[in-house]
Amino acid sequence: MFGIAGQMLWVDLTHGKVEKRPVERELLNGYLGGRGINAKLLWELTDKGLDPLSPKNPLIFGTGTLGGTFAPCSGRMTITCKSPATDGYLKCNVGSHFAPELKFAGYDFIVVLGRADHPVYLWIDDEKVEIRDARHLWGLDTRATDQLIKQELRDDQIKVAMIGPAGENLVNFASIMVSIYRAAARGGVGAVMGSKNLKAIAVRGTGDISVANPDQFMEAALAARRAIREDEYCWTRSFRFGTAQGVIGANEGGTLPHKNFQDGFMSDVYKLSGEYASEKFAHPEACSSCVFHCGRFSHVRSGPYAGSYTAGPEYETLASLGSKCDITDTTAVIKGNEICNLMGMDTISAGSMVSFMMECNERGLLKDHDLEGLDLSWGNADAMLSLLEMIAHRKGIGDLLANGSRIAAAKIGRDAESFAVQAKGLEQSMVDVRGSMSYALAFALNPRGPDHLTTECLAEFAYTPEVRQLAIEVSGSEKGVDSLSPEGKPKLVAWHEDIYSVSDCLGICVFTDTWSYTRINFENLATMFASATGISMSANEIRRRGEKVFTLERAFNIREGRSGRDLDVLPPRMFEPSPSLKGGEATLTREKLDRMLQEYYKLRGWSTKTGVPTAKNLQDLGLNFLKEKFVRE
Amino acid sequence: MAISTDNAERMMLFVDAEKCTGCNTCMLICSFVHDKVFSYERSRIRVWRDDNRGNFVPILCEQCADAPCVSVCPTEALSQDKGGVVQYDPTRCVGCSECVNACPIGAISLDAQGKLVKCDLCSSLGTTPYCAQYCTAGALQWIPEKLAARRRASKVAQRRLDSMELEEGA
Repeated sequence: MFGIAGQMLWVDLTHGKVEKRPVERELLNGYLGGRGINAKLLWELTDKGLDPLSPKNPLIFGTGTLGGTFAPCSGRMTITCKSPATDGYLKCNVGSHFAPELKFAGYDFIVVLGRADHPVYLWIDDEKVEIRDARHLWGLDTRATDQLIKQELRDDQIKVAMIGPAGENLVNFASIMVSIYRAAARGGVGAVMGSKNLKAIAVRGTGDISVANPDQFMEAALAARRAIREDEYCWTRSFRFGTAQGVIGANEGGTLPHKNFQDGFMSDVYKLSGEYASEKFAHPEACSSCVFHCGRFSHVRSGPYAGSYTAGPEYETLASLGSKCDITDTTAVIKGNEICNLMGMDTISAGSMVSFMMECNERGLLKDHDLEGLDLSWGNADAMLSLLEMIAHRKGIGDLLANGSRIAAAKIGRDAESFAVQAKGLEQSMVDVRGSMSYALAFALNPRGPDHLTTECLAEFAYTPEVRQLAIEVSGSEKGVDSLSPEGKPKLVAWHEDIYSVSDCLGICVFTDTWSYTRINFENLATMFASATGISMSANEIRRRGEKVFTLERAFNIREGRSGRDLDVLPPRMFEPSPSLKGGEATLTREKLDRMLQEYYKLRGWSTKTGVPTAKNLQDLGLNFLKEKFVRE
Repeated sequence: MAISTDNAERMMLFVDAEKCTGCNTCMLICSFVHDKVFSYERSRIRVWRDDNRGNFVPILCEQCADAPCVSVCPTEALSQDKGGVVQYDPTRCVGCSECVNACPIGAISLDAQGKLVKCDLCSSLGTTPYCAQYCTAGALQWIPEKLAARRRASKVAQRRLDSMELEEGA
């Protein structure tokens, strides 16, 4: 096979068996790879109503088709399973260098099924694959796990994906750390891994990957790299400040979550910015074949949190553990980030639990709960840090919070559900969608819940003349760049969803799509795919496959019995007015969202009543096998 | 350190490890331009990762002036060309791995077929080193040899000044 290694590893932990199966060319052609093939596998391996923490929930690791090559930012991997947080579809995309190493070892996919009767880890040493005892690793944080496995296997350059105590304790938002730098964070992938008694996967790959048409591939991939690098705006900001470059802009726009999304502006925000953090604490770090180098490695050398070091903090973490809890001390955020990474826990959801509790405290809803002396006032950094540890170990009130804000809010009651900023069971990521209609629509549609990683329509903000032009073209309206207008947003969102989907299948970082608009596009994605795999593919065809994958992921939730309003929801707080936007009026209303959804369903060829794909739509996309499951003609 | 000639200036591959972000693009491009495959093992350059300290160190042949690999090679498969680049002739190589043992920095390895994997600064391709062309972080730079010491000195000076500022501040 060209472009890919050509094999899947099927690991049955219940019976301790490992099997190698070929990746069929038809599957690659139909679903492009990575996220797409994962979606197809999950659909086939599961039935409606499956308990996400049962041994039957498959945990699928899928490398991108261009992973291991020098296509720009191409080393990413998608991890897919049913989510314990949402009881719905879950895909987590993650960077680092694990995917290339796995492909060089000879495998594109790992499908983990069953449950081991004691803690184990998987050791993939090229063609030799072993399930090893991990009882001595159980309970260890991710840093210690990484080090011990490397010592035990006597190679400090192998790549390790692992869970920490949060995953072992089945925290609903436990992450899988891929090296100590990158997290597949959202929706509880770590809890699913923990439920299987699988502590880690270690891999060493000494083989190689070849492409079908080397000259054409080299030309296309290197041209794309140069084009991204030549975009000075994007390059300078991402390299110097990482994703945290977004803090000041979001704050100025009134969309930086502050005090659990009560408003979107925080005074004296400079200390939480990428400009400050990069200068003081961080240096850049990169995933495989990256052109942006947005990753950070931070080290605190003085003050109360001296000695903390960790990957991050990203924009999301600075907002989640910082502004959203009314905390401005970056060193406290770095310490909190370190705890989350060591415990293997999503910083977005973990920080959301803290800010949710702070608001409960402000409203006096916690009088019946034993907080063990914690003072949950806004801005109390030490309380934030203690709470993170308690959640990871399910200690005290942490045991309730580890179930996520949907369950915690229901338990606390007294209207707490109205300010738990979650939908479908997933805590919203750090964008106040009241200031951006395309984000609002995209967050509502995202199968895994309200976050930015199924698509992020930055074009709406028209940050360069080039980007502005693209947003107007794609949305078909001058209002496409008016972030409070619903006009043109369905088209804008659909375009972004499709290109994100294609990028995830190919293993290319989605930041290439939206930080360097036009430099990565359906044309060069199709050319790189075709020249790598030898499967002919036009720009139009690759976009349709992206749409197909996105539709299949939605279908998973439809099979679970959801439709219409249940499928496409936002947290209730997003329909309240934000004091930081316009004259205190609600900028996002349910009517506005409904109007966008109606238009969007029509555009996709779905039923405008239920939001379910029609038989014709499924036929056109090549998803006929879905028909019998849920389409009523 | 590495040197090379055309008729004009002596150039060298300058390695500024502090700037390396560990993206491994150099390894992927190296294996591809030389062997038409993507592989860490086939790369002439290796980025050694110390994740825990956030350090990434590119390691590659330094084209030593008095190269131990050339001295120990029993078949003259390794030799130094006029520009100072240590060249490899696979037709003479017997795969004894004396050079692998002799290299003080681990920059030479043997592949599965018993052939050497070793950097020749892309001289066999007739181009400047690809790794430096595509190192976006600036850790690998193809620069005139005479500027190398100045650049290194500038960095060291900057670091000393920074630490003096810290001391004053404390």
